[in-house]
Amino acid sequence: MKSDGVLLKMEGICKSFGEVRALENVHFTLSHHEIVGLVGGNGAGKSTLIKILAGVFPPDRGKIYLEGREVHFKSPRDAYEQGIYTVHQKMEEILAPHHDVTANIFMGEEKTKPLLGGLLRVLARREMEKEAESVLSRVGITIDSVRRPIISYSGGQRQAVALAKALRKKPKILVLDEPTAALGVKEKFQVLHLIKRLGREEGIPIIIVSHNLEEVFEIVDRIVVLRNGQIVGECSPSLATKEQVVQMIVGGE
Amino acid sequence: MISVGRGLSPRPVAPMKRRELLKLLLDNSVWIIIAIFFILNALFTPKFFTVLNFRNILIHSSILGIVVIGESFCLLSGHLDLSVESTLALSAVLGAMSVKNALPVPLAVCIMLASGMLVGFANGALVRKLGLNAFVATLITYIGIRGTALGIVEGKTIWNLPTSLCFFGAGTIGVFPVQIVLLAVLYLLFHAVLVYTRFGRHVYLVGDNQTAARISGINVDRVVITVFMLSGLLSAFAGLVMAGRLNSASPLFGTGMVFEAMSAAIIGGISLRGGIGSLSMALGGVLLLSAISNVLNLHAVSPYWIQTIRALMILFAVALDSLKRRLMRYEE
Repeated sequence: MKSDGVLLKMEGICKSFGEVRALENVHFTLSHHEIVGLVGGNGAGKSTLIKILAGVFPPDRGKIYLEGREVHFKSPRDAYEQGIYTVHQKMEEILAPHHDVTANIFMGEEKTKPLLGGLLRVLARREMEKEAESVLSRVGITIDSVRRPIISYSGGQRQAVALAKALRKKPKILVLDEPTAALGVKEKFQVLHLIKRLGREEGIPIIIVSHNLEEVFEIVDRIVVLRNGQIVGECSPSLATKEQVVQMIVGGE
Repeated sequence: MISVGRGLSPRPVAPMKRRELLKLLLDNSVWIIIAIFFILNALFTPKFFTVLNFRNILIHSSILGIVVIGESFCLLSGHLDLSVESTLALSAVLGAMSVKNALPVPLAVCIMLASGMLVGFANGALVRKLGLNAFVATLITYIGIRGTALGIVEGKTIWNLPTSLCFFGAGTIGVFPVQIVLLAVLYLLFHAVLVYTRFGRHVYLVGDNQTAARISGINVDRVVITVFMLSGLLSAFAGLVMAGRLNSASPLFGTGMVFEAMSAAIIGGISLRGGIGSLSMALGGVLLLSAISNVLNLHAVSPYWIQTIRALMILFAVALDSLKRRLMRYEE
């Protein structure tokens, strides 16, 4: 596999809701090992674009290529199985609040071990706990016990568990929709570092949707600006200023 | 640079330990209440603390206890099953009709159990495939299946069943009544299913957060339909036990039992919102309800008051539940 090739290509994506044109002929690409920030005002089409990518609804027109193959996502589940892991504003929504960290990380993919010479299969608790701990420490999350329920952890810690769950699945693309919108200042900072780490050290391609230019500038490689359903500009955070990006978001001139 | 590792570090441990201990006590509050209740009555209720009376309490618990296992699976998965008592009656009536029509007893038993699974399947399909709310879906079967049971025998009770059919309800294994053995075996079996199998884990996860479970690849349809079928199967089995115990089959068997079953589960500590609870809690609820009605009997209190007492206990149990939730939640 090429390390710098195009991983995801969305071509000529159009989507309307009745009279409202949410997306018009959008071309979007994502490379391996790239963190892309998707910015734009309200109603610019950011969430429509990632919902198409997450399989929430299909585009009216346009094609999606993943690793060079054309793909159609029939449902969120389908997109997820093909390696696109989307977490919405509150990542904790993909967690079961009254279950412990291990149960959440392994949700739907619990490991079992044989009992009575393979006659029955029972949950391999120890093994799952060990692996949960190792996934958590790999991303640099230390929580005091993988046996405590999610509900007993803070918002930032819950997000971290959700990200660890994503990481164990080894997604091809991680899509984060306003990952820090629901967090306090300190936790926002921690989760941002975690995301950066996932992108840089684990090499997971990430698309991050955000209102907050501050955080976008801090972690992404490339900024894509949407306005009125179209991509109106792209830039690298090292070459552009926030003022220029704001200019693109609001348009005018 | 501040490392994330340190950033998301644990909070002080000591108060957590105390909270966990308190939670453990609250989780098992029904057993603590049972212990206190038994000690008090051993002291103050004549004839309470005898082997014969304990045997009575356990036998009284058995049919309700079996139904409560199925109801607990439903509640844990975040659904409720109103149809259990009607399924019980239908099963008894079908079994009696089968043997009266000269079918062999094993076949009659199969018909009974199959009828329960079929009702359960209908419930599950109404909920998952037609998208009905579990309350509405099982209300339909609750009424409809009771009607079917009444219709099949035209409201009449069938008496004098073959002894072999009565084995589960009236037989003994050594000195132990079969009903008590059944209660123990079924609770152990289904407890193991819930705690040690993937299916059991999925029941809890679906109850805790159905969306998350679906996104994570759990086949929610299959889990929910299986849970309802299990509930139907156990209710039908309870019908077999009841027919055996009373050596008869009436289409009015188990009238009002669904409320008893739900109260037992809730008093035990199973949350109506799904995902929280265990079968040992449910069993505790069943035994406590049986012990209370037993004591009221021994004191010759009018049985009419038992509903009032049960209501107060549910109130108490629900209050404990919300206290438990508050204790578990993260606090700044």
